[in-house]
Amino acid sequence: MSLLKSLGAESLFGDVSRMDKRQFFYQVLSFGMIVSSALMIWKGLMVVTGSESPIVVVLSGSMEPAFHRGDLLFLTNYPDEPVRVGEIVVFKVEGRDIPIVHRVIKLHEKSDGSVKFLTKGDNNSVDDRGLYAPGQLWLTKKDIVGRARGFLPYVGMITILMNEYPNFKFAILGILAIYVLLHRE
Amino acid sequence: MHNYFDRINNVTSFFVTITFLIILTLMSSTIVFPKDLDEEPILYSNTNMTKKIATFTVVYFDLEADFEALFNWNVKQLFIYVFAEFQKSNGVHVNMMIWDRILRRGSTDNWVNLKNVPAKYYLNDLKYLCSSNLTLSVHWISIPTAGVFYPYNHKESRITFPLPNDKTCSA
Repeated sequence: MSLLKSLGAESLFGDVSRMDKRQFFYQVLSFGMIVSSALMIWKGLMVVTGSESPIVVVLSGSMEPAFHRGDLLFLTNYPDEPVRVGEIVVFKVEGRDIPIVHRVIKLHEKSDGSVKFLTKGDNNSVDDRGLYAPGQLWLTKKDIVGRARGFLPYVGMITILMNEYPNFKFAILGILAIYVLLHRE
Repeated sequence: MHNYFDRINNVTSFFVTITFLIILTLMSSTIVFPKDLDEEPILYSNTNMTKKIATFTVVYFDLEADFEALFNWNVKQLFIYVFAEFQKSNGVHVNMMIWDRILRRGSTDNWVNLKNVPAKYYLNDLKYLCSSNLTLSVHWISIPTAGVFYPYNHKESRITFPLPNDKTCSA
């Protein structure tokens, strides 16, 4: 009981017992407000950047020493921007859930303007043809999720931890939800 | 009101605010630094230095450049590469990297001096390369410690020469 006291649980549950019905609905609404504004920010970023996933976490060491596991990348994907050799792109391959972050090393442009390109990780000794779908030799613009525009180290580690330990994720989300619902403003 | 949840919450938001302020300062403090080399890199290759081996064409080249000037405290690494462009006889325009190197901040060896080195990546599609002109240039991309990627900004040296013809071409 003294542990609960020291965690501030007494004042927390004290808040609840002092709540009336209106107060409780207000709490539920403000909880909904937090969830929907997070969703709005994410969807808004999708509109502004043109990318279906504007922020990605680097999951492998294939781009070391540029990007390490747990680094955060900000992407844009404007349709009129040409893909260039040397650029770092994030792409999806059929049959793989996780998008890949690699560098464009070769690009073919036909006279009709259609473009196909090949990628390679800086830390890999061979190009990505082994990673593409069976029989796929090139990527095209529709495979691209975005191009890397901004970079923040380490922050993505939180996401990696949450994905590797789902219990940790549920615990964090649960605590936050309970806190928002029960805590009086 | 002052229970542990509040305190953790305040400390976290303070930490996040300060981190973003530091990143912003880091990014804006390096705006005045040069994004271009003092001198144009010296890149050289010619038709005779380009060899056909089996079904590939290997370009040998010379490159001399000092990249030290591009480094500051928000440049973690430079990715430098030799870029090749050519038009195949079937109308396809090819852009590719033929050589690359990663230079890191703090390394004592950011001066590149190469003499007659073979490209890392070969040109293939040999039957379409006859009487094509090859254009080579030097490019680089910097990766920040944190922040935005700087746009392409180069003092590039560009050379163009014809690819060698041999008996496979006359056939």
